[in-house]
Amino acid sequence: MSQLSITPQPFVLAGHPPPGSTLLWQWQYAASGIAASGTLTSSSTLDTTGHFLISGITGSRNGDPVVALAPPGQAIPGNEGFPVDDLIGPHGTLTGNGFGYETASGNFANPFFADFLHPHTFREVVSEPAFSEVSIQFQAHVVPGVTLATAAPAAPVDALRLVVIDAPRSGFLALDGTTVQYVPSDKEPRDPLTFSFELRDQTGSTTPVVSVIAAGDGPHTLTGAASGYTDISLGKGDNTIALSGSNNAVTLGSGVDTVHGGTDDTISLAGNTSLAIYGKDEMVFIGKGNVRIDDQSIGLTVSIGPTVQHAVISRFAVDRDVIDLTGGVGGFTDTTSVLSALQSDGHGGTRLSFGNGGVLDFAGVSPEQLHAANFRFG
Amino acid sequence: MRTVVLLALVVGGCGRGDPGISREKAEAVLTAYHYTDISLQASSNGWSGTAIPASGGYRMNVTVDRDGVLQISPCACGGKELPTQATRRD
Repeated sequence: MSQLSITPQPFVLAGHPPPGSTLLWQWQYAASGIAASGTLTSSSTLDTTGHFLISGITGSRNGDPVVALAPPGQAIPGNEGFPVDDLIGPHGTLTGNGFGYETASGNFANPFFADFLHPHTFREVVSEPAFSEVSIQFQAHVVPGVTLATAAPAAPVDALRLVVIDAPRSGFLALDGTTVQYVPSDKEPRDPLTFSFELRDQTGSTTPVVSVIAAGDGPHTLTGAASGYTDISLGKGDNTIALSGSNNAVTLGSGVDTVHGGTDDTISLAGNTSLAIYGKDEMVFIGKGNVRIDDQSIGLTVSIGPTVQHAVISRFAVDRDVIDLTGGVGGFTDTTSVLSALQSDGHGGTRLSFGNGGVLDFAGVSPEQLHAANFRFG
Repeated sequence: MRTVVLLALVVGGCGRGDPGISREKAEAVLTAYHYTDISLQASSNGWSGTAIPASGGYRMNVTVDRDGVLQISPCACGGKELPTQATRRD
């Protein structure tokens, strides 16, 4: 049996969500004899097709709790040949593949958008009690605020409760499904905003305490909680952050920053940033901007967003570091295509172009040194 | 007599009906999350009831607890609003 767990998410109080952060949606649909609703979590960055990728789901269908999201690329039982893609558009629209989910009773459902019908309509395919497909009225919208953390209950049907340890001095916290959301009342706090919380299930089990620190432009020198699970968001400036434990999340604006990471931390770079990263099994998200990463960590993964401009990575360890190109960045969907696109940068390094002006430079690493295990596609 | 009155006040203050925060504060939390058609009752845990997302949708169970924290869950209370979104593809 799995344990109740929680994952802090990168966030900013104002402006576009940073790379690697999560959006929270409320979804619902109805038809005669059908009523389904709940929450979705998705990526916050549009993929090359203009959609967000759904990563989590909660809710119920006719009172039957939703227990799992169907993985993209797979069809729900009985609907073979029509795999779900788990994509959702900015206005809550679905593709012709839609998303899929499983319920506690063992049923499967797949809402999608049927543009092959006239008039176009949302439809639902369902596996039980008998395979059927009907038109539905579907709606999804993004929940206001910023997503601070997402939880995974020990059992999918466990109801959770948000317990505030230290309350924020302003703004409003909420628990919707398994996601902790925050609406700030001051989007550019002059003094650092700090608060902490945990989630508790019906058995009394609790998650680790998530400590949140949000501050404006720096410089800042911050130390995370000794137990980890610290969620830090900073504006522009040169910052030095020391993290402990594991599962911390740090969002940094433009500046020259040093992060002494713990383990399995998430660093989101939301501007023109020069980052020195230490720690183990760290994940760095690159969004829009020019970025330099000095990798002094062990086992770094760098996720490249579709709006990357110029990213330079020095000390890239070819035996353990990974570039994540999930979402089809640069049109790369397999290792063959990406390895064949690697070029010398003329200075002993390697250049990978993404076709929209975006470039990734592996400083000091020749194209021949890079191999399939250095790239991931989702 | 004075002791009895005081005791009654203390018990009443901590009783099941004391939500710990004002109705206005609870409604402000729901408004911050763009909920409308708010219907709340006081309880010892705060304010509980139902509300509807302003962007349209089903009525949801909502509780704003004594710390001002909003807890949202699906509602089997009927009264759902029919979605108004146009059916179109991106």
